[in-house]
Amino acid sequence: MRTAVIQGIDHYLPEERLTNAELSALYPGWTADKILEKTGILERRIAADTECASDLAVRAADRLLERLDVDRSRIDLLVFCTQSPDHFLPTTACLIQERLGLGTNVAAFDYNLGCSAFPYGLAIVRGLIDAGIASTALLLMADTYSKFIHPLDKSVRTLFGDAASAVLITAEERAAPSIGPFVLGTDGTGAGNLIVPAGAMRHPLATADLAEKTDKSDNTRTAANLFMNGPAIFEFTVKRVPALIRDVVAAAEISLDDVDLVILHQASEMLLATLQGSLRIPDEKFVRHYSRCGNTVSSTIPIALQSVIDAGRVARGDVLLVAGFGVGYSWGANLIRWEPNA
Amino acid sequence: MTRAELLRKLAAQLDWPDLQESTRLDDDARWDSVAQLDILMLLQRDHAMSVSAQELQESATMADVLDLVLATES
Repeated sequence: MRTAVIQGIDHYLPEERLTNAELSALYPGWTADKILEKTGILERRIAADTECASDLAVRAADRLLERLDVDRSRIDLLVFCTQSPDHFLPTTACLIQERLGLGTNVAAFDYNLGCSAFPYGLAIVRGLIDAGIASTALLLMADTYSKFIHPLDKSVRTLFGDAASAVLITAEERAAPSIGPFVLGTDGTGAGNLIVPAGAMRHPLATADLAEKTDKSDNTRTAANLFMNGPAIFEFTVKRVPALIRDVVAAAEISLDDVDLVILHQASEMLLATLQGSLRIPDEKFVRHYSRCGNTVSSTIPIALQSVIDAGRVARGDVLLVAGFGVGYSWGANLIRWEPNA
Repeated sequence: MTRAELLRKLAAQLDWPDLQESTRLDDDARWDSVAQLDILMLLQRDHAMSVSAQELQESATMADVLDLVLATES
């Protein structure tokens, strides 16, 4: 059967590093050790003032295409996920098409998701490839949340880093689908728990929105900054994700024991430790990769996946489970049988 | 889990030795989002219990937190 197959993954992290020592100097009572204990993160990468999501995505895509020696004229689909686009319009994917030197026959569009970006992106690309609409796809994800974050809001600044990732997916003949099944879901009642309230059409930016407010946890932000209700996000995650994992392995008619590696959205150490314990996943199957880049939102899963591939922890034929969850609320999970062309 | 055991456990988790049922949380800077996350994580990890984050955040005193957790447990 004709189906979508992942051929390779790469990523790009911006140059600037933000360390726990730098953050602890800003937040009284928060030592570098405490930040590490709560988040599992040693440093985050931060985009330069002039560096946007498209810049990071182009770097990640160039790396991938050069490493795999891909003929760019073969690419006929470019799907880009970001919540920090270069402009309200045009679509950032159109800017990336031109900068990557792709042909004008490329179908290119953005979609707006955060931590669930990877499974949703794979679902979109697989659908278009399996339907015969595309044959060589570039799935790109990039976010620069740092541009939304107030420097004195430790609830988010200690967690998030900027990054981009790139995945090449092609139409191949395989005995069964290589990507899937999928379980996708949404609960918009949680929208207010991870949000940039002002700046778009519902709440255009006004002078009053730039007034700084400091909350009970001593975090300062404006209405134009990222706000996260950490306890509410935690509650959503520990209630939703174990069921999501059970649902996706049930959809595949396998058990979690049949999965070789589990790669969840790399949110924070607190969340991952709790989920690993709830799901009783042994350390050797549970991937952690965030200490040197932080929570990079849409790119956490592909970056973590690339890390285990590069480390030789993924063998041909392995079954990988990926699951993303967060802002929206939005969630998704799917399986990947790792079987790129030789 | 008794009420006294739970109070001791939460005090240890929060590194808050003088925490009492009567402790007011709504005007104590130590009752921040990290402290609330610590409690949520402890309850999930040790008791497979998920309490309402909103109700936890709205707790005015430690007695309210104990009521919430014990009601969820039962």
